Parts: sequence; structure tokens; C-alpha cells
Amino acid sequence: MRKKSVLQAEIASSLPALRRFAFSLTTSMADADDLVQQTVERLLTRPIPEDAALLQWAFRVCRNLWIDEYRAQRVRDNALTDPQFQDTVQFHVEDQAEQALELSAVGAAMTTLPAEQHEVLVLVAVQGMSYREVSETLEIPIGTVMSRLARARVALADRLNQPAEAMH
Amino acid sequence: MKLTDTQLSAFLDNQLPSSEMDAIREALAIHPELADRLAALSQVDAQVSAFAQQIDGKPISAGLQRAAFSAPAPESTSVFTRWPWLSQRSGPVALAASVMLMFGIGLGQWMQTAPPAQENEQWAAIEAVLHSLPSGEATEVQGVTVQTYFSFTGADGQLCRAYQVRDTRARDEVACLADGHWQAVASVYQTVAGQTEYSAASASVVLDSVLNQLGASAPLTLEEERAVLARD
Repeated sequence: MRKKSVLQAEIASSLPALRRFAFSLTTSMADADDLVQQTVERLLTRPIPEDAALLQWAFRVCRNLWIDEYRAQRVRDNALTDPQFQDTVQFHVEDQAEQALELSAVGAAMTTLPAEQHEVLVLVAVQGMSYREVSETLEIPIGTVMSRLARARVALADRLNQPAEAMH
Repeated sequence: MKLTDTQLSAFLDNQLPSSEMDAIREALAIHPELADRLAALSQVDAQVSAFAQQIDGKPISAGLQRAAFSAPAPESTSVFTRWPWLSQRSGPVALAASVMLMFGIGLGQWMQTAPPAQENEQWAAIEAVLHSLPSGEATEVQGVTVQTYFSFTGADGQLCRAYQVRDTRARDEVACLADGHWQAVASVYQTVAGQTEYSAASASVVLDSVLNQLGASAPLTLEEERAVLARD
């Protein structure tokens, strides 16, 4: 079993990546830190497999918490209003208004993805994971990683960039 | 030839069998609109990555700070096991010679070649951080986030620190203190925002090798680090 101090040190060096991951999933900075906090608390209080790489395990814990709580919250939110028009990005700065607006659209578009596509896209695009690493982290076949990633990219490209209809 | 979304997406990540990669390259030569479509798909990754990076350097919430940086147990040692080197200290450690060769540079050359950051005010700011910020913390200076990992002493007794500097990309770095000034002795770029220079795994292996060549001690405890930083 890892010493607590060793574990804390590992967690500390993983925080930047964890926050990016959580923010990508929740699209809200406040929710991201709440999610990472819950993840850290769980990592410190529950057993971690000896052979588990901490960062990969942390992502898995974070993802499970997000699935359990935030997705449920999103379902409730979506019942009230279209997420496309929700103020999901809360960090607009006046002199960066244009960029913030564009990124706001990206965040809003991400919230429209099904959770299983959303998480795969984030692991590849934000964390730079290989398909194999995503497959191991989410415990899904590589073929599933490929298809979910493709659907996520097409959906966001449709919404944000240009029509990306299948070529036949 | 019928190309599916899954094939095109996997093509972007170079994750198809070589025969399929070749087939798509051939299709690209014939159908220029295919390049537009691949660009649109590829742009998604850049956009999502840019979105995620907005949180870098933003203050960590008080709750998360408490959870992540509460005081460790008193008998413990602060060890940052980001790099395998740290868990191999008691046994023989294999130098990653092949990796060093792959990069075509050795530690000697690294030590003679100042990284770009040292040439400007940014390095002075990073030096100030290295003089004062405890390991395990992060701060923003001169447009970059500096995340300290751990401190150690080299074979000749000089104080060294491992840390990450991050702006649009991230680099893991080791700097040592000489005559009151911090000098970066190794700098390895990591994967950020899909702009791969070296993989994070390679960065880790290279730095392991550097730490071994420096004859690095076991990582200092936070208490030891505090005392050494106050002295130096």
C-alpha cells in the first residue's frame, strides 16, 4: 500500500492533468474543482490497487464520479433548458471576449455529447492518450474507443466548424 | 472506396493498419474535399484542448487545496513518484541510454545549452519560484504556470529541483543551484494540446536518466527542503 505522503505527492503532481480532465467533462471551473476535490478525497480514503498507475486510476475515479453525479445533474438541467444556450462557461474576460465566446461555444457543444463520447474525446484530445490507454482507462474495447471518438468528432465538427457528413 | 467516419477519425491519430492508412492517403490525393473534412475533424481536438487549458493556472478552490495539500503524516517522507527513478533508488537503475541516443543529445550538451527560458525575464521569475515555492505547489509567473515536484541534492551536494513549466505546452525540467542562481540542466517537452513534441512517457524516461547522471539523492522531505531553501 502506498504511504499517504507518497500518495499525496503523486496526487499533487497529477492535479493539473486532473483539473483539465474534470473541467473538460463539466465545462465549469467551479464544478471541475468540486469534482477533483471529490476525486482526491476518494483517492486518499479508498484502497488503490498496488499495480495501478496513479494518474490512470485517478482519471477512472474522476470519470466514475462525473458519470454518477454530473451526468445526472445534466439530465435534470437539460429537462429545463437546451444546454446550447446555458451559460456553461463562467470565465469571460472583456479583452479576450472573442476568444472566450468561441471557447464558450466549444464548451456548450461538448455538453451536448453523450457522456460515453464526451469522455473518450477528452482523453484523446486533452490528455493525449493513445487508443490503447483510453481502452485501459475506461475498460472498453479499442474498437469502441475508435467509434465513439469518431462520433464525437463528427458531432462537434458539425456544430462548430463545417459540415462533416459521411463520405460515400 | 467508401470511407467511414471511424476510419477518417482513426487516420488522424495514425491508428489504422498501414494498408488502410495508404488507402486514405491515396483517396486524399484524388479527393481534395477529403482534406477539408479531415481538417474539420482535426480542428475539434484543438478546440476541445484549448477549452480545457483555460483552467490551467486558475486558482485552485479552497476545498481542493485542503484535500490535496493537507499535511502528510509526520513520520513520512515526501516522495514524488512521478518518475520511476524515485521508486528504484534502493536498487540498480538502468540508464535509458537508447532514449538519450534517440534524442541525439547527452547530458553534457544539455548542461551547456541554456533553454530558451533562461534568456529572458521569464527565467528570472522561475528562479524566484524555485527559491521559495515548496514542492507540490503551483504558481503563475510571467505567463507560465510553474508546478514544483520535488527537491534533491546532486552528487556534489548542490541543491536541485524538478518541476514543470507550462503555458501552451508543458516541459518537465530539472534545475540546480550554483552560486545563488538556478540553472536548468535538463528540459523535456511533454504532450500538450495535441501538439506532440515528445510523449510524456519519453519525457519521464529521459528525466530519470538525467537524475541518475546527476547522482541525485533521495528526494528531500518538505521540512528538509524548507531548511535548505532558507539557507540558500
